[in-house]
Amino acid sequence: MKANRKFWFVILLFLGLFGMLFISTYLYITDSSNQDKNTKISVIVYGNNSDRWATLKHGIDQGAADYGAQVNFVTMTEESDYKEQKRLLGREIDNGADGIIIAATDSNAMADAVEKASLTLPVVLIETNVAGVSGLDYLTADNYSMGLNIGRSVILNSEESKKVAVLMENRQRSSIVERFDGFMDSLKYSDYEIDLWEREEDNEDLPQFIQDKLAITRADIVVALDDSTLEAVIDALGTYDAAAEVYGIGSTNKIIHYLDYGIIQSIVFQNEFNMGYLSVQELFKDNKDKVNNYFETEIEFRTINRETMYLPKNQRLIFPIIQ
Amino acid sequence: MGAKINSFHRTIHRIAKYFKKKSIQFMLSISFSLVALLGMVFMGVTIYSRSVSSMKEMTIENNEQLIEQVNLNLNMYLRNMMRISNTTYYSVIKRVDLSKETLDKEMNLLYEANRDNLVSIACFREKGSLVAAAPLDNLKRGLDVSEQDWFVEANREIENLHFSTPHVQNLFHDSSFNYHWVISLSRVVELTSNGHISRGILLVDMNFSGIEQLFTQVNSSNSGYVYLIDGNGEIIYHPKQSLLISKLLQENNMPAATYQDGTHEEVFEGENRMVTVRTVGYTGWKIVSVTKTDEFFMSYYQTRLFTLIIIALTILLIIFANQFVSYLIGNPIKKLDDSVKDLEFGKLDLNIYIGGSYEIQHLGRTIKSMVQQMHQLMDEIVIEQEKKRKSEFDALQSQINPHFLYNTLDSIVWMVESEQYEAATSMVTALANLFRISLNKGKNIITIREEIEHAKNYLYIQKLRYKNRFEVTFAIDPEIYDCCTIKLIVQPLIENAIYHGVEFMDGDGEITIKGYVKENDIYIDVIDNGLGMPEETVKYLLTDDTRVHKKGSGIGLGNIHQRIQLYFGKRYGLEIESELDEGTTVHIHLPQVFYDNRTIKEDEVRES
Repeated sequence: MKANRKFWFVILLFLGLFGMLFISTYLYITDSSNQDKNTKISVIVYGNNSDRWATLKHGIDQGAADYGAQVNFVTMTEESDYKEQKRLLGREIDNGADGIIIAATDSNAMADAVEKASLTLPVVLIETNVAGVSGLDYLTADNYSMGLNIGRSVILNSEESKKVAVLMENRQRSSIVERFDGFMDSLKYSDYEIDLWEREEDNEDLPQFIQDKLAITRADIVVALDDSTLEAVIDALGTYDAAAEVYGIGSTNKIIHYLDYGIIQSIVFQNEFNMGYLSVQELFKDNKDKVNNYFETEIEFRTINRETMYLPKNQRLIFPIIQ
Repeated sequence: MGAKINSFHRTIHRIAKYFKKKSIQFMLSISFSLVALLGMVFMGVTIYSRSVSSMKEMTIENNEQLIEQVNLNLNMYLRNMMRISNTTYYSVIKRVDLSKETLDKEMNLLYEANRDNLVSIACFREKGSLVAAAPLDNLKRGLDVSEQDWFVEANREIENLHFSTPHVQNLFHDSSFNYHWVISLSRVVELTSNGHISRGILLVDMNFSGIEQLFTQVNSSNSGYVYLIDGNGEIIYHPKQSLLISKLLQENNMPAATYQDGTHEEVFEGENRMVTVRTVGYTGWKIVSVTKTDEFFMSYYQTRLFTLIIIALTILLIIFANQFVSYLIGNPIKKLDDSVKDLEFGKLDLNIYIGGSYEIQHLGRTIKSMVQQMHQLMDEIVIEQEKKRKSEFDALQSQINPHFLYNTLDSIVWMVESEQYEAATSMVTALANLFRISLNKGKNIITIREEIEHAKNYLYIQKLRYKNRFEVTFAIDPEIYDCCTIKLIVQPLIENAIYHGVEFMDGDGEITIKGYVKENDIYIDVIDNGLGMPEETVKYLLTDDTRVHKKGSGIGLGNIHQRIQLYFGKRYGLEIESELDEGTTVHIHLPQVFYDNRTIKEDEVRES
């Protein structure tokens, strides 16, 4: 009788074990099949023009789709307001972002906030670096070379006697400073007369400022080192009817359109689709592997003009295929 | 080879030997489990391989169906383009003399009718100047159309329709920043102007998003993807086209352009992939469906894991159930075996286990009844032995019947007094012989010769005492002399014959002792011609000693009968025939067993 009871006990134990294993396996399988889509990525960019970042967003969306993440894309209300960007960064972290991709609007002013954020969650910097913070993933085209290439385009297309105006906008961003250095270095051994245009006050209307400057200085060539400034130049020239050659860095639809129509002579643009996709990839690498192997990734850039923009290899980059 | 077979045999033998020592429960559970395990493994492997191959077939079939669907839709898209082109050419351009009227109105109508995917219809002269276009008709400034690919291609083979790869339309002035990705269909047309025919190029630009939508639908499912290449392997559509352009991803499109229609297996970037190719009509484009074999297997990984765990658990359960069943079957047998073991070790107050299945219960019951019978038999043997000892003791004791001894000794005294010394000596010798045989070193089995000798000694004494008042005749077959008998069976019969038969006769009493073999048995008959007995007396003579009036040595017929039966079995013993005034015959019935001093032991003589 005693042995019999023991026997039944063992049987029940085994059946229990069997059931537990079955249930746990079932749970494991149903759980693992829908574990994706839980990672939340916040992308914080400067500027209030979402068209400016369309290609980047396309890359990020593609990356998010491949890696299984939710993306919150955040633009600002002002073109450049580091206080707002700090606030947005804080808000996104509070909202439970698992990773941050940020294009800093001010390399110095954003440094603290970015460093603080990077202590709690992975942060990837795009285009613009922050000052004095090491060990962060940074994805950018070679800004210095981009500046250098826009200078070379100027040299190739224009006579050396001409007057070149460079717009000194957004110099709080390290990328712009690097581009400027590159541009200046390219013209170092030429005879161009270089005029640096800098607004006295930030709230002064930029297209108006450019028009005023053009009227005063009679510059032959205007160079803008980022998208928003280049668009402002186009706006300024719209009513001025191409009195100056325009060179610049950037690739918004508007810029491409005016390149196509000959208002802009030549542009340099970075492959922002890659920048977006790789930033997500970088974030996930970091999330998954957690190795302390931070690096700067270089993004491809190209120089195009009205003739080369329709080449198959270029049109694929400047006209986003999915619209 | 031989050695191998030998060692194999030895192994088998060893295993068999090992299992012979194991309990039935162990054997049952092991063999059940093994059979179940083998069955499940066999079934699992078969089902798995079957399902894998059928899944593969299904995937191929699905891919081909999918591609067929895409092909149909793509054909519709392309045929639509061709239809627009044909209508424009045959219904509009061919009928219009350009010197008299323009194409604009008709073209705009055509555009409006097909505006879903249509971006523009345009007709150019040979040098590249615009004849007419819809919906926009102002070309960009400084644009040289004749250098564009579609224009060049149309001029290269003038009788063909040319489909281009997707490109950004670069024709018309559009103040909004719209740029269209289009597929161009270009052909050479004949323009009539004032009766003169000149060459022109007709261009139909279809929106690329139509193709895109078509493929996006197909690619929304999870496994694999479908892309489109032109005849040279250039990618027209790919679900990750942007990644390919940015070189973040590679595609095996160039080799795919060389594939025939059908399903191929290829290895690309270390991945095994199944590639199904279908060529699209008119264009030479190829629809390529890619399924990564690994991914395809990976998607079944979890199912496989689940199945494996279930199989493992089922095996566990089966082993367990087997244990249980073999316990149910084996345990009663084991218990029965234990009972039998106890029996073997001589445990007497034994309770044989009865339980388990019907057969085992039956076995238990049989063994139990056997044991009971055995016990009974053993008890009987004990009683029998007891009887034997007692009857022998009685027989022995009766030999020294004081009355007989007194009479004999009295006779001897009388002989000595009457100076018959010789007779006295003979008498004493006979007496001595009588006792020698009756004692006979305690042996119970003696030869018939000895037994007859004993009878003769006795008769000698009695004859002297009764002064030859009767005649004794011995007729013994010599061949029975060396056979076995138990002692003290003939003499008491003779004694009976004397006392009850011939003593009361006047003179001529006759006693005959015959020994012979009949039907392989030995018979010794003691025959007298005395008074005889009534039938009732004969009846109880052998069974009831107490009712017999004792005389002489006092060994009753019953005692003799009993002893013969104890030693030789119930078949043997005494048979009595008697008739009043005629005489009595007593047959001693014995088995014919030759006496061998060395081998014969008392009990072995006995037949069961």
